[in-house]
Amino acid sequence: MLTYIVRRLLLSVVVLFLVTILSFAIIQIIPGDPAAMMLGTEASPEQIADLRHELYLDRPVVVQYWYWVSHAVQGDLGKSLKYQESITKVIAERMPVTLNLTIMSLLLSVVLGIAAGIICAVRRGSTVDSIVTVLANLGIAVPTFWLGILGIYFFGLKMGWLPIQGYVSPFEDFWLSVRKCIMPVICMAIPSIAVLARQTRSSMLDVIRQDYIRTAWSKGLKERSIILNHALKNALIPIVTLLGLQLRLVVGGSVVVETVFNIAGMGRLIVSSTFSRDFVAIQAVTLIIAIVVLFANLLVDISYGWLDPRIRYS
Amino acid sequence: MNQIKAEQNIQADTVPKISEFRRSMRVMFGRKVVLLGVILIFAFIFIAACAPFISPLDPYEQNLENSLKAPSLANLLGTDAFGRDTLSRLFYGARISLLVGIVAVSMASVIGILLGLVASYYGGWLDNIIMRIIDTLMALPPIVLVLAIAAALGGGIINIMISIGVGMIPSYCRLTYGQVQSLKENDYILAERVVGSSGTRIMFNHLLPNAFPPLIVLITLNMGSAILMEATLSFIGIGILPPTAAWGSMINDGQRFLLTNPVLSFAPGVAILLVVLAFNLVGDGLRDALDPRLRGTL
Repeated sequence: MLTYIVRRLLLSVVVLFLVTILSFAIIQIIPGDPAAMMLGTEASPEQIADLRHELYLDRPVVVQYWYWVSHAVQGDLGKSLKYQESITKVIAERMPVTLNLTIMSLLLSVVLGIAAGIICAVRRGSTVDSIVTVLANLGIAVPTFWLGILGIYFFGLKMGWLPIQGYVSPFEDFWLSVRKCIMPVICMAIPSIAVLARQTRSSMLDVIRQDYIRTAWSKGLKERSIILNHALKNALIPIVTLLGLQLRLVVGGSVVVETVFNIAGMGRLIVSSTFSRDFVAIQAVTLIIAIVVLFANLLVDISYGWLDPRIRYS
Repeated sequence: MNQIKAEQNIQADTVPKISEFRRSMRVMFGRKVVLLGVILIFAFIFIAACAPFISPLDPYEQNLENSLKAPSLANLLGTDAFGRDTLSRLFYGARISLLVGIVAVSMASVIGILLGLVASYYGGWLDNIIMRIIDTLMALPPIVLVLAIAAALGGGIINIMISIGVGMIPSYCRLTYGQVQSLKENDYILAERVVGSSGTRIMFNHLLPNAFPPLIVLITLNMGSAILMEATLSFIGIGILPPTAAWGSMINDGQRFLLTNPVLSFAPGVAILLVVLAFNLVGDGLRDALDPRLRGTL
């Protein structure tokens, strides 16, 4: 198990290195002069030259990269052009917001998705199964931003049940925070709930047909124990794989949801940086998001090795 | 003589000889939901292709006296803030979605499949370099990657197609890679090598056709994803710029008038939902029809 973890860790380090190159490369693929593009059309040649110097754009590429990475390692990702302060500080303010939304959505989708999938597999062909299957198909296809707008219209404007925008930290005002998070979290979770429900249903159906499940039945075990202890644990492997792939999609969902519900998180930050061509911010945000995703995937990989001993030893 | 014929008949009865293609087709179209998906896709393509002929009004003609009207006989889905006909804009928006979908998916599939083939067939350092680059692209959520590329290249339809395409390359590369990894161990590939076939010949005449069924499923599913991604970008305001009618930007425009005219935001969302759903249903149908493990049960 230890060698498996170490190997995964080393692979992540390699990818992390490549991610820094990718984030760094964003500024390199800009057609023309990035400094001129960031400052807009009104900038004087002196201003552009100053910015070029400040961003090390007047040095060779390798020096630029080294300068950027060596500062990034120390937590200095540069100064945001839009906010005129350290981008690390801006990210530190917004990170908890997105993490909170993402973790809640992931929990919700894991619990609801797997539960719905199990019920469908166990009661295959029933009305519940058909309803969940239809809902899952719709959940995968629905544009989340549109779902958010439907929610704002019905539950916010028409019914007046829920606040339609903004975010409050749960440590400030717990209930207001919960009320404000309900719609964004559900919107972010719906595609994953749908995908996980489908995967759980099909892998549970595969497992339920196996001989050892029949043995468990004939031993006289209770249905609950057979489904949860014998079937689910074996059906979990493809579900965990899928969860690893879904992770980054849920994080990506925050971009859309934060825009719809006007929440000042990482997603909104990357959108506004795109608009203001704040490449320092875009580089920093992509790097941080990639690190979070890599770390989460590492956890998924490790749990994968724990679930399936064959993976550890291959 | 007659006896032989009779025997042949018996054999024909016991082993029904349906071609693989016809069996797949029967599995696919035998299900009502898949058929529904196919019909929806054809309707979508028809609307996109014939938008200028079937649109009741000019999608760009402004009529400020007639703004934000509720659905009526003159404007079946009402009008937007500039008095433009929502239904006509919806029809024209289908063109953007279809175009972006086709171009982005073609680009991603060609590049991704080639990279996957080369990485898996040749292996070694080439494999390592290509697959680590793919891992890197997969460390970012597609939308973040697409936004970063779109930010660097600028908005507009061409750049949007490129960035969505780049965002989808990893899935093709990964899938082709996995397929070829298991296919290349087969004896017929070894036989080809013994005969002295070139790598290109083996890759394109033998590996690619055998790896194709799951790829065609991915292509179908990705048409839906690309359309969804384009709508998302246009909604955020990065993608297709006004006044061009795109479904995502129509939802964004309508958002400000939710209480006065909710149809403005609702209608394009339904259109996106139906089109993406259609591609997903057909993709799932294809998956079941082409899956060799299900042969005999379906």
